[in-house]
Order: sequence, then structure tokens, then C-alpha cells
Amino acid sequence: MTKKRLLLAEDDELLASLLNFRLKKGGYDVSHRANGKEVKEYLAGTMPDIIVSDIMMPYFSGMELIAYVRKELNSQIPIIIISSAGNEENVLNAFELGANDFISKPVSPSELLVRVARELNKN
Amino acid sequence: MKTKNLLFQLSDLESHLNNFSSEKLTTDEAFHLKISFQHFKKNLLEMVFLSRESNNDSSNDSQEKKSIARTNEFETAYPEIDLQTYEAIVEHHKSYGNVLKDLEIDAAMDEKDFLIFKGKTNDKQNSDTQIDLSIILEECMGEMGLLRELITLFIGNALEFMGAAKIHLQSEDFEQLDFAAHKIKAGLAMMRTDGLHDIVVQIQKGCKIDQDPKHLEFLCKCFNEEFPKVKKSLDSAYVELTNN
Repeated sequence: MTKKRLLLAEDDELLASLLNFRLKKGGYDVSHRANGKEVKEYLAGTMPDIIVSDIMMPYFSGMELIAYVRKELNSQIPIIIISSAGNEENVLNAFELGANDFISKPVSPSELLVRVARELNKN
Repeated sequence: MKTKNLLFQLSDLESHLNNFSSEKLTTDEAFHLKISFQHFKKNLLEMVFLSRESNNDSSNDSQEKKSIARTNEFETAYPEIDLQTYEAIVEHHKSYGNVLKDLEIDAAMDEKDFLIFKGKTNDKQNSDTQIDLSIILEECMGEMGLLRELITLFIGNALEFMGAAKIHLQSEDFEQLDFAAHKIKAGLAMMRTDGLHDIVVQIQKGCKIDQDPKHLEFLCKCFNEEFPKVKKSLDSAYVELTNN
């Protein structure tokens, strides 16, 4: 069985290291990108099965990423947004742009794994 | 850390006052209340920052004797808190007791002050720099290598924040300081470094609400002073886990 490709867009190396490790252990083919520019470059060559992205990223925010995937790439792949507590307005905007789910920081890797699996099962 | 706690409590109180003023008071009353509170906070900060030399330079003998007596009495009761903070608490009761009573939040403040006066404190305050890495190790699925990597990244992030905060404070760029605090906050919560996390939350509040450079400088100084203790605790906790 081929592994599902997951793009992790997160500029916080601390959080990314833990999530990268747990998602890989969870059986996903994880590609980590630390800023919006790298994310865009990656998406130009590969379309993952799911994206997990922080909202606040250098160069290209999580919001811009959702709009880019939905409008320019015309893709409906699941996108899970990572947001800080107190950023409810951003979360609402993300849903309006087409995000499928969100998870608050500090992120529980176990919870993220459940949410990723749920989104992939929907498709 | 008690002085910092006092200031954190005051910042929280300030938030409560903001909420209260918008709901219950007229605009003028709210304005006066807020100005009074800010004046008190400014005075408290000045008292906290006063050097002991300024007390020693006092030419008034009786005042000096009184000060020394109070210092001795107080330091016996509670060795970790300094005279300026003690004076500030007394002043707080004199000047703001009625205001706080009107706002029906005096009981909570009294309880906290009582703990400080009596030299008692709760477990959380005592264990501010105690860090339990076992939960993070669980999230790392027992991989000590990953845990070590996370600690290294955490230390790097904290050092970067300290540098960035210094620059943003110098240029009084509160938006960038808020952003830097925002970026490090999740990592602090993730590593269960509650003391540093609380300071960063206060820095964010300060950047958004009053934008007082002196207060923010104080909070950043708290972070810089707290960080080495946290680092030491992290290292100890890691060694302890390694030995187990």
C-alpha cells in the first residue's frame, strides 16, 4: 500500500520536528517546508494528498496557501490549518477560503494524526 | 519571581478594569479609573526599579531607621521579596483598596497579597522552573534523540527571541515584538515552560494594549533572567530521564 503524501508547512522548527517525526511514524510520506516560498516550489512539482499548514509563515501565509491551492491549482485536497489560540478570526477566514479543519497550538501530535486520518477518509 | 508575579497580577487587573469600564461605568469614570490605575502601575514600576542605593542615600535618619526596621522585619518574614515591592503592596492597599473593593475584586487581591506578606506561596509558584519532560517524551514516543533535538531547538528559539526582543524594544517596534512573542509562544507551551510562557503572554498583552516601553523592557528582562533557570531545569530533567 502506498503511503499518503503529506505536506507539512510550518516555520517553527521545534513544532515541525515533533510533527514530522510523529506523522512519519503514523505512516505518512511527509515533506516539510519551512516557508511559503518553499511550499509554492514544492506544489509546482508535486500535489500531496493532504496539507497541514501554519497560518503565519514567512513569504506566503497559510491563508495565501489555501487560496493558491483552491483557486490557482484548482485542487480540493484537504487542508488542515494550525492556528494559535486567540486567532479565531483567522480560522474563520481560513474556513471561508476553503480550509477543511484546524488545530490549535500547542499541537497535540496524536490529535493531529486523528484529524489527518479523518480528512483523508472523507475523500 | 514574586515581584514579577505581582506585576503580572497587575496587568491582569488592568485587563479586568478595561472590561469593567466598558460595561458598567460612564466614559469619564472609566477614563479616570484607567488613568489612576496606569499612574499606580507606573509608580509601582519605578519603585520596583529603584536601587537600594537611593534608599541608603536618604538624609532623613528616622526614615532610614524605619526603612531598615521594616526591611529586617520583612526580610525575616519573607527573604525573597525586596523592600520596594513590600512598600508597593502597602501603597497599593492604601491607595487602591477602595477602588478594588468597588470593583468587587479585592478578595482575590487580598488573598494573593496575604500569601506574599506571610511568605507563603502555592506549589505552582514554587515550581515555576520545574519542568516535567516525561509528557514530551511520550509525544516523542520514547525517542531520547528527538527529545534532545527538541530541547536544542527550544534553546535556539529562546535565544533568538531574546535577541529579537532587544532589537524591537530599541526601535519600539511593538508589532514585531508581538510577532516574535507569538512565534515563540507555542514552543514554550509545548515544552511546558510555564514561567516563560506567562511572561511572553504578558509581553503580547503589553504590545497590544498599553505599549509602555518601560513595562515591556521589564518583562523582557524577566524573560532573560528566567531563561537560564529554565535551561538548567531542562538539562536536569533530561539527565534525570536519561538515568531512568
